[in-house]
Amino acid sequence: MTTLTDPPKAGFRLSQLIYDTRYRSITIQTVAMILLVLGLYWLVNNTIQNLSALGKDFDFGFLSQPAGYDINQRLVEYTSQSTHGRAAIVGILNTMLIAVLGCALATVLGVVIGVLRLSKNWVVSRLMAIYVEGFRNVPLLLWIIAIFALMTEGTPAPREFKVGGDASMILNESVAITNRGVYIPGIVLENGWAASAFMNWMIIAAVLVASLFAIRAVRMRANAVQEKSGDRPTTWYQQLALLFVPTGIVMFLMGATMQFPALKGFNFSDGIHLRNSLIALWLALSLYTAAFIAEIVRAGILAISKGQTEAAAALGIRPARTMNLVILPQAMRVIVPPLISQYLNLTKNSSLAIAVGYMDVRSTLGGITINQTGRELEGMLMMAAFYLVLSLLISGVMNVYNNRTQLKER
Amino acid sequence: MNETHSKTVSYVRDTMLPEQAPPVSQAGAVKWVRENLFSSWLNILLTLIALYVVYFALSLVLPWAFGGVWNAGSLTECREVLFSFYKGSHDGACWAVIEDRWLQLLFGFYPPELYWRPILAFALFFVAIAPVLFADKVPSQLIWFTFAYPFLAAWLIWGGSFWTPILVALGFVVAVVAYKILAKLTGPILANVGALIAALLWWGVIMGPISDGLHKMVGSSRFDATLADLNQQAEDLPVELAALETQAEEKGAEIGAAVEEKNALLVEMAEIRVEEFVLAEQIEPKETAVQRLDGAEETVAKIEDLLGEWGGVPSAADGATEAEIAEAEAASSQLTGYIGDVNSLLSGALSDIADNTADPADVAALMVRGSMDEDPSIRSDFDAMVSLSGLTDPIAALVDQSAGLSETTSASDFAAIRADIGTAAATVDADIATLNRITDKVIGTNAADLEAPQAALLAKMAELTALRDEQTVIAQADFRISSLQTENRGLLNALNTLEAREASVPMLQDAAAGYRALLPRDQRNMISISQLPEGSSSEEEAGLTTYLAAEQQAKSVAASVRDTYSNLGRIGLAPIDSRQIGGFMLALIIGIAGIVLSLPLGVLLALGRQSHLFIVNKICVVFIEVIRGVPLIVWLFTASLLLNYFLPPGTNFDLMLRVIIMVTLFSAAYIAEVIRGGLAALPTGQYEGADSLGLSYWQSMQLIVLPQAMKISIPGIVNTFIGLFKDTVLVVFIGLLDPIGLSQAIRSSTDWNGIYWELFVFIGLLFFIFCYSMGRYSQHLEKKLQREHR
Repeated sequence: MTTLTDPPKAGFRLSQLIYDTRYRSITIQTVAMILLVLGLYWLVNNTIQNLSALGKDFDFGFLSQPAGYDINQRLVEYTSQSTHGRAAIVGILNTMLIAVLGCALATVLGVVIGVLRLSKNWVVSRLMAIYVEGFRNVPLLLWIIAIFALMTEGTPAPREFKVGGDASMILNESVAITNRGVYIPGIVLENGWAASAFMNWMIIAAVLVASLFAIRAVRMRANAVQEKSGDRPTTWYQQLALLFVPTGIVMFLMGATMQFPALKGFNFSDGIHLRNSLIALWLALSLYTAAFIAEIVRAGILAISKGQTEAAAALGIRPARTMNLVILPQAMRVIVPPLISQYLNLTKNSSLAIAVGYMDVRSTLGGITINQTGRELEGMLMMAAFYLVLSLLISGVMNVYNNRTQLKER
Repeated sequence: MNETHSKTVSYVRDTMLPEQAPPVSQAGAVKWVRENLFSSWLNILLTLIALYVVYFALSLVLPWAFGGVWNAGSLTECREVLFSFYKGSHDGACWAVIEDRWLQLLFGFYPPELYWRPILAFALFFVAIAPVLFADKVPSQLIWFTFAYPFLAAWLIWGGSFWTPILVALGFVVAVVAYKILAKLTGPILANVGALIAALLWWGVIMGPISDGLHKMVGSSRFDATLADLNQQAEDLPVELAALETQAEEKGAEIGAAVEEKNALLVEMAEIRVEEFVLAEQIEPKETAVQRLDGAEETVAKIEDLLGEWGGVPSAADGATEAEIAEAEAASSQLTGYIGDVNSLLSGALSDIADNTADPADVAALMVRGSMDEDPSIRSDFDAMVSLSGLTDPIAALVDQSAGLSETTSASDFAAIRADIGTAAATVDADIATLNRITDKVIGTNAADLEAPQAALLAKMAELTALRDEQTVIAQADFRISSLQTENRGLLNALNTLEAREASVPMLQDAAAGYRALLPRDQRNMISISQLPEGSSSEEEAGLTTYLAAEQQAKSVAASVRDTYSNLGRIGLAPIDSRQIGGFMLALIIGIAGIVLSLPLGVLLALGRQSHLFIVNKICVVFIEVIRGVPLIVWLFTASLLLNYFLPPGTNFDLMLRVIIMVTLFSAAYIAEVIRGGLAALPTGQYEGADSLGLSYWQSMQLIVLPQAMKISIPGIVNTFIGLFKDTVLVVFIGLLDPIGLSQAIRSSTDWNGIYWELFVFIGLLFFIFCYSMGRYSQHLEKKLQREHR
């Protein structure tokens, strides 16, 4: 027996590809696929033609050739005899350095400013609003150049620091701010265990990380005890000891000594030299991003309804613990995803280093190396791939966090 | 009234008291201040810190900004004016650079006589966005102007024949017509594809010949008239140029005279100030001497410390270890070094004073401008001063004493010397203080005399600025006419050879085709000799080279003919090269174009990313993530360095257009993510409701989903736009002259070398105004569209 609702049994007609919703999606996707493949073919074909017309090939061999240029700011050993690949790594590390420094300072500033902007104090909140609007509405590049100009034009030359000169060092003769950069005290390892200073610092970092894990273990044990008995053992002195003692011992064994900057001739030597390019880029990135982070923090705190605070008070929880146990965990869920996307922005914005001559990956791999070898295509591809991988990694971390903290509703 | 109470209580109030004003501390401004600014210790601290920060910032910025100079031709002149008023004690802004260059910062190198075109385009922009931003307040027909505006604006800014933008716009009409026709015949999908193909055909194949044909038609009809006109101009223009040159010379002479007068005023002021300079010359070496004496005192203190540490002369005890001996030797040599330092510092201080300063009586004799007569206390100040020998003798004694110093000198002797040095330094300090007091008095007596020349200098600077502005106008006219002359010569030349060139085109093309036919089949599509396989014979190379050269020549001659006709047959505005566009106008063009183009693209990408079609979805995801994962600056370099690789050989299009495309793609990816958030925030019921009404996908998106999703995404979209607008300054890195690039160019000119903050403030303010108003508008829009009850 046939009913009216039975689909027609007629065979497949070609027009169904367009009019029948069952097949139409396949048609559309096929068309899209064909267009995509054609487009890609067109691009690749053009590239091959153009490359061959210029007599170039597609080859990453240049990475193992000597670079022949100097990099004044480096975290690992590098000389002008090193390879282009090494130069790229130095650049990548510099990018990471500025990103980490910038994220740290921007977070601190941003949180302080965001909280202060919510303050009931009219003067303070207005001041913070001016800060946020001022930094958000003016291009970052202008801030970078302005701060760089301030650092190079507004500070004294090293020779002014001589006896009888106009300038003097600050913080008990330990920090010198000059127009060639800022000189701060550094720690020197006199008899390190590994061959290079970098490796020695890596060992210390490893010890520090191990101590952090130990602290975590102490905390977890304290939690377990609290779960069982209801009393939390006092552990802060254990945590402090774990944090400082092992690292301190290792550094002492390596013969760590403080080295203060001192004027030798017309320039400072010893200590750590932070170049103006680094400082200007770091400050500008941090101040600029802090304005955005402040808004994120403010929105996050405002997003928690007042009922939460009141309910906590009704339960008899003290204000400080209310903040720690009730408000912050909920606000963090709102704050962290855009915060991480700001970190991502900061990292990408660090490519503006070109404005002040800071040697990040764009200046080494994407700048001098490309100019010297004429490998635009390979260089740009590698650089884009680096930024892309970095972004995907960070957003991957963000997704994990989101999934873990998401409200399980519906 | 109650009887009982009247007996027991002596007095009972039977009327209400009038309401009293609240206590002062609980009302009005005082209450507000108490509650908001000084409610707790922390708050008081914060308020004080904030007020100090505000005071500090304003005390730095306000005197600088308002004590600035507006009329000057160079940084040096700025400083001259500032010096004539404040004598170097005050750092004022040199706003003259803005006065001098603001048009350049706004328009780049756009021809000044054509500024009306971008200004008109900018004004019309507000008319064009009115129907979008304020749809409820303007007539809805205005939306047609909005659609026409992009073509109109492009024509106004870049110029060219009036039919070019119309022909481009017609491409869209062609697409719509094709869609309408095909939709009836085949259905929407094929109609979309057909419309796209039709539009591409129109722009790629049909439009060019039509435009060329129009140019040729108009050009041929006015050939003779133009030729005559050009010949006439070739005679007229040199006369005009000569006249302008005379004017320029006269103006230059006038300016020279004005500069002379200005310099005379400066000299006059310097003469009035001569006493101040004399005093300053006395003070400076004495200050150095005091610094040296202080240094010597410190060093002696260090010596004492060292001696104290070692309990006498540093020496190693008998039987000391090697390390101890070395330590003692080091200390001993340090001691010697210190003693040497003291020696040199003291003798330096002595020579500072003895060689470079004069006795107070001699200095008083140099006070020739009569300030002593005006203010007799100056004379008594001089009389009270210690004589030169009174200053130098103790120091000379100290120098002698220090020469006798050695390691074995006792600690108490060192202490005595230190005390003596301190006394000597204090004497010199007192001397300096007196001199400073005298200087202040002299400045006071000079102030009245300086007023007249100062006012005269300001007037002279204003006059100079006016003269220089006139000079600029003349120079611009001169430049315009001489470039017109060059252009005319070129066109005249082109017209004379036009016939011959036109005739030669088919022959050249035939020749190239002939050479091509001679080549082996696999070489016929080569575009460069480096494409030949290795080991090719020299004949093969020669054959290919000949063909390529012939092809090149045929193409270039054909292009030159087309060029001539488009110059000859142009009806419209003078064409402007993209390289001439710069400054804030460049930022606006790139920003606005990027904003307008990226929104629809972003919507499409967001829909694609939300789509259930696997391949479409993945294409969109990859596109969005790749674009977002890489900094804009890398994309801009890609546009300038790599785009030529990806396009067919020989294509080379405008750098600015490339930048606009890249910026559009970049911000489209960000907007797609913002809108995706809006789409995801919509309750599923909205999608299902639309489906249950039987709406098609596009209908449901257009009528139900997107309006709500867009409303949710407004803040994010506007933030992206603000980001895009700010990011336009990055084009400076690929050689376009945006405001920051121009500020560098201005700084590298000799007149304005070393000027920073004035330019930064100007550029920053421009960007701030635009970005801040965009942000404000988005807040307004959010409020207007708010439908929830809160």
